[in-house]
Amino acid sequence: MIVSLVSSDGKLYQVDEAVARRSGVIYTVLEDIGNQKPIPLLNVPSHVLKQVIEYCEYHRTDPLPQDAEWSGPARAELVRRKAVVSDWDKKFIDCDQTLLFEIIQAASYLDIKPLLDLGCKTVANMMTGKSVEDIRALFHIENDFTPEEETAMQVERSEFESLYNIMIKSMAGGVNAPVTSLPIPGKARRRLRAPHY
Amino acid sequence: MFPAEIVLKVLEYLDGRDLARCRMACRSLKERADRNSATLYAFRLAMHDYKDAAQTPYDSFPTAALRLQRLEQYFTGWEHLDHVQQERIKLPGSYDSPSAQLSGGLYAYKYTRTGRKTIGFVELPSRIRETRVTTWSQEDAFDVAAFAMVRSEDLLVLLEVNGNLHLRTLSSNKSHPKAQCPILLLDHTVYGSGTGAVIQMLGDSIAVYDDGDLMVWNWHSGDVLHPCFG
Repeated sequence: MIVSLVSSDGKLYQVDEAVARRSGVIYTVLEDIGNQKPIPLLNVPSHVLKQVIEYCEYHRTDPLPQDAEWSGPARAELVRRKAVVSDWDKKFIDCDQTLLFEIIQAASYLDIKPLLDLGCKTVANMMTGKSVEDIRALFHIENDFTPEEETAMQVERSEFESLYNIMIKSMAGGVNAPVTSLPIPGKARRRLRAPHY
Repeated sequence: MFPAEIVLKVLEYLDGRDLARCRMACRSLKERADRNSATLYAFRLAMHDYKDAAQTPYDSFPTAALRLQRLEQYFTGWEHLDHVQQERIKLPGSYDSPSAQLSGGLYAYKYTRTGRKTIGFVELPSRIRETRVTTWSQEDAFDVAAFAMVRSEDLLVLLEVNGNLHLRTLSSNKSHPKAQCPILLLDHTVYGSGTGAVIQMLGDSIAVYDDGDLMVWNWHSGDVLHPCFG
């Protein structure tokens, strides 16, 4: 069966029902109202919808994510393991930033969880290892902290960046200072500063 | 920018160090990262160079919120260093050596049992970790010259008097799954039955110092990083 979808700029797309049902929202519409007339997608412009349909076409035979599976422990597990992204997905999501953000918003609006996850993971990868300035530039973020707040955060951060150095120093400090356990948190560390530091 | 729930999804994919930088970008990112237990927990852990060793997802028990609460309790505990609980623990064996270690709430010490040098373990009681006193001993038919342990890696390193360095799991005393060679070899028998041997660990490296000889390995791969003959 064919489902008709209308983009926000009024273009008509006809896709197989199996493809359309990848979207949780369209799935619900088809279940509740049935496939009678074209479904208007008010928040998705045609250049984005085209991409989303391409993704759904490719993944049409994947098992549909169950709600429990994508919101419960299994999803958190995926988050932790940074589940492997397939080559096709990698290539698909490798687009310019504006389109990437639009795809993420469409995936969220249409409730296509694997696509939303793919998009979010990609954005997270873009942020990995970036400096604060780079992150601001990436998302066109204005720095709205007061100078006092900035200084406070810098202090907090330099303390934690230097922690590893302290560990190495204490390691080199001699036989009585085995650092084989967890490091001691900031304030207590200062208090406990022993001769071997 | 994105709606809040999408921003949060992105933040959940970041590790603690990236979260730390992300929080400094602007107020709204900082607030979003700090208001969610999972991201705040990841950030607080990274701040102190800690790792979550539970290996269970944040939304299964214990939840991220509970873990965060316990972590803060733990930090507060270190700040005040007050006695909260007192318990007498009888250590198995006679305590004949000052060689003791503490890692992740586990206390271990060398002692002599029926003529053999072995290791005794005491799981210390903790409200935060929800542990009770448990004691057990190393069951091996060799004399232990020196040992080291890292609870977060479930790693126990035993130096046998004949120069074998065993990489075991603390939990089951089996070969450690992350170690490609479960037994590393010193090129000599330990001097003076090991009273002077020292094992230290940092990250993937493990170093054994014994009467002027230093050897360093990568314990994952078993590669020798530093042979030094003195």
